[in-house]
Amino acid sequence: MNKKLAIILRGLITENPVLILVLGTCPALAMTGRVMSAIYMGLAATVVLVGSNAVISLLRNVIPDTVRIPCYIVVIAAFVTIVDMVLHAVAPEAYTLLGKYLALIVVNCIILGRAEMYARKNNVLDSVLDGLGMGLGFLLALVIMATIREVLGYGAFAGIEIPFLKNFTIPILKDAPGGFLVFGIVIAVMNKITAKRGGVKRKSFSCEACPSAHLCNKTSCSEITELKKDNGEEERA
Amino acid sequence: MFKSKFMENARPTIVLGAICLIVALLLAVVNMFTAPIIKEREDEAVAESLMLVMPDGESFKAIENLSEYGLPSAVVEAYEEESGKGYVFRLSVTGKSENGMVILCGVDSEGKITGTKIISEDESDGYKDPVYEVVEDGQYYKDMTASNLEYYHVGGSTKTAKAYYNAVKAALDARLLILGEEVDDRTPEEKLQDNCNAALGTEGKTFEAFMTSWEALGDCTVYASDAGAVVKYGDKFVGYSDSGEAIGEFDADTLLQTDAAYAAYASTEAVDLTAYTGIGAAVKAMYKTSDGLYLVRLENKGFEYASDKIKIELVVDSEGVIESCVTVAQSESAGYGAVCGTPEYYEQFNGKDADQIDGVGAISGATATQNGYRAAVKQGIRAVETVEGGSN
Repeated sequence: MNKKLAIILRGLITENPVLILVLGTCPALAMTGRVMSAIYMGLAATVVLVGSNAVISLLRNVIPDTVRIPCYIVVIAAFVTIVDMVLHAVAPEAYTLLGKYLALIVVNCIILGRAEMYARKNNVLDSVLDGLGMGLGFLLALVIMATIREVLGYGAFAGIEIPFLKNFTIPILKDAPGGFLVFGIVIAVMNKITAKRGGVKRKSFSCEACPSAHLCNKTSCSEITELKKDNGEEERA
Repeated sequence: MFKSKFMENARPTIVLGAICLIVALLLAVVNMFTAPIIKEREDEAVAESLMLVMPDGESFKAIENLSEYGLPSAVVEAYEEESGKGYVFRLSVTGKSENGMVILCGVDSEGKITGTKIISEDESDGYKDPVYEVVEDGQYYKDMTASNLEYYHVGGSTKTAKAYYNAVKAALDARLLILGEEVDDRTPEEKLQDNCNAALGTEGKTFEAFMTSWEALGDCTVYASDAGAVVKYGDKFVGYSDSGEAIGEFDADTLLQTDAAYAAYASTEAVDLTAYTGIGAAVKAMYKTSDGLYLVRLENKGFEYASDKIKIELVVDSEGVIESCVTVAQSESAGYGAVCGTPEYYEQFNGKDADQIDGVGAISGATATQNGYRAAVKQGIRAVETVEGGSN
């Protein structure tokens, strides 16, 4: 049970896809102007993550290596399209708020990344839990950023005006520059917190999953890390 | 061995193909459930927007194959109100901005405009406001029909005003075409001239509006030509013979109004301006009424780049004091000189004589308009003084 919970919590905190792994930054910046947009985007991405992880894990022994990426894309696109159609039918407000970013979930690197790094190597339950953890971690990161931007930028939270903040807003937070600023600050804070706890353990990636494998002379990426250490460059925490 | 080699090569394609097929089927199933709901929502949203211009409407059906009806190019979409209350048209026209305007216009079963609403536009701020205030917020075109459609002119915002008029005209014409009726392609001026000629039983005569702002005419407009006069009341044109009898059959209320207007017109005497020297160029026509007042029509240039002159009508007493000053047309800059077209501006001149004109009518930021206006009014008063003084 603890192991299963750990899978979820990993995606939520220690390997948060947005704040630690810095993946899915496009929707993280575009959809964090308002808390409601962030919530809808986070939930939509979570549904797609869980669904695609489940299916890809289910088919992991069926899909040949040579066409695995196209197959993953088809599965992910299918889930995104289903979410699109269902939202359009039952939640038009969410559908309107998400706009073009709903379809862009297909190319969200968190989803393809987890499919490639986790779902294809693990069983269905673990993959689902991983998708859930990563999705909730994505949602959490978006909500944190959106809260800061909406409260300080608009003087409101989830569309509800905060009376004493109405006349003391920071307009730049409504726009892209403010988004980048908040993003950077939140990442810095997360890095500080995780550094205190010993940092994020970097995994050494196998060459199997590396797209440059056929060009690289090294036996593994850890060899590169060792080379950097020898040259006096600090290993990243 | 060949078989295993073949399977090895074909397997990726088969697997990918199978996944695509299953996904397609799954999406088709989901679409089967969601499409009707989405369509219903979209129809509701469309009906809601259409009801903005046809509040009595309940449900609307899009008219397909619009090209079959030969509708004006401005018509993008057409909807029929299913209980026969009329039509709503979505129109795209180009005003001042190249991005165009999209306007909804409702026309009821009798051919009257039920409402107009701008859906999107990119017209210039400041220029569009005087147009929108009247035609959009004030629903200027409401209840007008194809036969009595009148263009709302706004000096300085001509393109925007014209675009709105074109959209409304296209909607009225579209309804006629859908019903298989003929469309009147004449310009408003052509229709006016044809109506006047028809009322008087003449052909090819040119009619000119007589002192449209004169109070004695009431709600009527008199159009005069060398063949006689026609009085317009509402959408009726009543011609008058030389003996002052109305030509044709009209209801009592109409005749009450038009007879009074004709009598007032007939009581005036045109002043031959060429018989006098020193009459300013801005004075285009002058008439003397039976009670000694002078009706003066003036035209003068205001702003250098205005498309037309400022047209003013004065009623001046024999002492040279203005009883009434009205701007009947101007094309001055919106937000600046165009203020000369407002009652708040021209009513300042009431009760003034020539020496007092320079003390009124100042327009900040529109000196040329202000000077042109004042010069015209002064010339009008001086002309009256000249005629009264008998200088020739």
